[in-house]
Amino acid sequence: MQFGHRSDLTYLRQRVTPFAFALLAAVAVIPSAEAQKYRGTTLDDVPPQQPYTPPPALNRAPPPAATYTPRQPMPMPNRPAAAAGPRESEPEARALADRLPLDPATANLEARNPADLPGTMRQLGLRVPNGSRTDLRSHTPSTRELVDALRH
Amino acid sequence: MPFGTNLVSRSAAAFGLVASLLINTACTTPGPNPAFVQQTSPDRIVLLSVPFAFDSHRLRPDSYLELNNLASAMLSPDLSGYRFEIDGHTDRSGRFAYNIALSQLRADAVIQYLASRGVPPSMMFAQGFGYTMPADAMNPYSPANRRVEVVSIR
Repeated sequence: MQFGHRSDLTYLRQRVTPFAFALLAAVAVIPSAEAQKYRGTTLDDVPPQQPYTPPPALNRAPPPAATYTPRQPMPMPNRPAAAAGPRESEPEARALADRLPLDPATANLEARNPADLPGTMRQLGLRVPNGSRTDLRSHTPSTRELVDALRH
Repeated sequence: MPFGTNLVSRSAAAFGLVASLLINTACTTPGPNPAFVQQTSPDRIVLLSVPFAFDSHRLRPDSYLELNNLASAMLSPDLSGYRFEIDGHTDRSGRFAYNIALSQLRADAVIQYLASRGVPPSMMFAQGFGYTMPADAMNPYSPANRRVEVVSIR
């Protein structure tokens, strides 16, 4: 087949032209069919759009604004909140503490060197025991056990 | 100053001195019992966990069994001729002087109970050490430091 030849052009026109017309018709008809749906209606005929309602899961009251809560100190084992502690509720012990033969510096031993303890013991007239120890605090010792532990 | 007034004031002072000595002897005050100063051999020290209510020198009923056994041991023929020192100890909570007093009262309470079980009071002597001799020195607030030690002296 040679282009430019009369018979070939005729052949093409005969073959392609129907398809071209069919394509043009389709382009013209489809929008027309779509327009047919809304023919005779105005904007007023369009039903009003429903107001937006959020899904239930999202339709909640906003959470309250976070308020600052100071962090509580962590409880420390073996250490009360204050060195003074909750003690001193025993009136007899308070009265006896006031009678102790302690000078003010010794009474405030908390601030002193533990090496001062022997002097404090002497001041209080305490006899510091010195010897072998048997720890029976893990259970209730029997009489026999106690005799054996206390016998020299 | 008239002579009579001086005599009255001196008499009152002397009476006060005698009265204070009597009161001090009757009341619990820390101090060594001279009978316990002389000893011939090292002590034997037994650590007991005699339970007390917190900040109290009242014995708890669950300590009675342990103390009954202790009284029986002290009265046993194996320990005849021994003397016993009851030492109270506390943990580090609170004032020094208050803890000395509280531990002294606890040791006194143990002695009173042992005496009620038939142990002669002359065999025993109470001392309160407060928190000066912790059993667990690394943890001065540990409950392990709240204890009673029985020291046998020969």
